[in-house]
Amino acid sequence: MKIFRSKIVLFALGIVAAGFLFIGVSYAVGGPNFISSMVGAVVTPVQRGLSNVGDFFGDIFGYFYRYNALEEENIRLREQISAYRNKELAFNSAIAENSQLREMLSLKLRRRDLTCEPCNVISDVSNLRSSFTIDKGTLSGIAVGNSVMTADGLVGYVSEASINHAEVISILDMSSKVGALVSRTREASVAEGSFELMGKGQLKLSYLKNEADIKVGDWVETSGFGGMYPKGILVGRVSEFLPEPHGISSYAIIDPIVKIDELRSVFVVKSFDITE
Amino acid sequence: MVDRKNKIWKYCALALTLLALFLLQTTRAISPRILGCFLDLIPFFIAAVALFEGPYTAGCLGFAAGLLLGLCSPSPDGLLAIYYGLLGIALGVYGSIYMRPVLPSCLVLGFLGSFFRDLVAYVFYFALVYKASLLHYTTDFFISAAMSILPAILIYFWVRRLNRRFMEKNENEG
Repeated sequence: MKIFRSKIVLFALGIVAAGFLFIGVSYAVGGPNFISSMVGAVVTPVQRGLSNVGDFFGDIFGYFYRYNALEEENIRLREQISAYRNKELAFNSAIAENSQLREMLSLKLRRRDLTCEPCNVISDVSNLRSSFTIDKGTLSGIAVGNSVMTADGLVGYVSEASINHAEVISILDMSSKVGALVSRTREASVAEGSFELMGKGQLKLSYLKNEADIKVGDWVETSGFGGMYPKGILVGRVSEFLPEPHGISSYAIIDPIVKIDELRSVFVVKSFDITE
Repeated sequence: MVDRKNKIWKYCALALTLLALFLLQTTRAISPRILGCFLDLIPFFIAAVALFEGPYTAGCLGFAAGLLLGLCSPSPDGLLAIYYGLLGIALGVYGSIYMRPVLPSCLVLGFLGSFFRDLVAYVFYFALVYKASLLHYTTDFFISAAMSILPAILIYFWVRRLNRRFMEKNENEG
C-alpha cells in the first residue's frame, strides 16, 4: 500500500479519475460535456479561420500547378455539357410523358422535403476512422443522427453535436452502415465502410446474392430503410463485384460519388419527410 | 516570486505550442496528408515535454492534449485524455531514470507512445470488432510515423529551447 502514498502514483490516479469523470459525464448528458463544449467553442472558430486561409493558399497553389489538368478537365466537361444538352431534350419529353401517365394512374408524386443546414468542414484527423468536424452545432439545430450530404450525394451522419461544432462519421468509416439500393435493379443491400477500402476512399455493398445482377457502373442510392437517411440519395457507383471469402454471398465495391477527402462544405439534413 | 512568474510563462508557452500542434495536425486544408495518413505529432510533443520538464508537466499537458484531440475524434471524451495523461507520466518517469534529454530519446519515446496507442486501439477495437487487417493497419501507422519524424525533430528543439530559455531566465533573475 506504500505505493499509493507515492506522489506520482496519486497524480496518475488523479488523471485517471478526471478522465473517467469526463467519460461518465459524456455518457450521462449523451454528448460532449461542458468542458469539451467550452474548449470546442474556442478552438472551432480558429480551425475555421485556418482552414479558410489554407483553402485560399491551396487555391492559389492549384491555379499555378494544376492549370494544365484544369484546362483538360474544362474541355472534357464542355464536351459532356453539350452531350447532356442533347439528352436533356429527350429527358424533358420523357418527364412530361411520365407525369401524364402518373396522373392517369392516380399515383402521388414522390415528394421529399429536406430541411438542410449548410456547414463548412473544418478538421479531419484520424488515420483509423473516417470522420471530420463541421463548424455548426446544436445552436443551428443540428442533432446527433442527422444525415450529412452534398448536392452530389451522401456523406455520412452526425455522431456528436456540440454548441458550435459537430462530429461527422463518413460513409467510409467502418462503423457506418447505410441501407442501399442498386438503382437499376432495385436490389436491396447495405453499403458499409471497410477498413481495407477506407484508405482508398471506397466502401462495400454487402450481403448481395452470388447471382445478383450487378454491373460495373451501376448507381447505388439510399433505400431509406431504417429512417436514418432520406431515400434516393446517391451513394456511389459500383466499381467491382466480388464473391465473399466464405462463398455464401457476394459484395460490390463502391466508389462514392462524393470525394470525402476533398470536402469543403456539406449540408446537414435536419429533417426530412418522404411520401410515396 | 520571479521563479513562479517564469514558470507560469513557461507553461503558457508550452500550452500554446500544444494548441498550435493540435491545429496543425487537425485543421483541414492545413494538415498535410500522404496516402490518406495524417501527422501524429502529439506523442512526440509529450515525449519532449516529459524529457525536459518531468512527469507532472507532461501528465498535465498530455491530459489537455487528449481533451483537445477528443474534440476531433469519435472516441468518448476523456478516453484519449487518460491515455495521453498516463503516457506523459510514464515517459517522464522512465525518461528521468533511463534516458537523457536528447533527440533520439525523444523520437524513440514519441514513437513508442503512438505505437502503444495504436496497438491498444487495434487489439481492443479494430481487430476485435472489425477484424481489420494487421498489414494495412501497420502500413498506415508507419506512413504516419514517417511523416511525423521531421516535424517531431523541430518540436524537440522548440521544447528544448523553451526549457533552456526559462532556465537561463531563472538563473539571471534569481
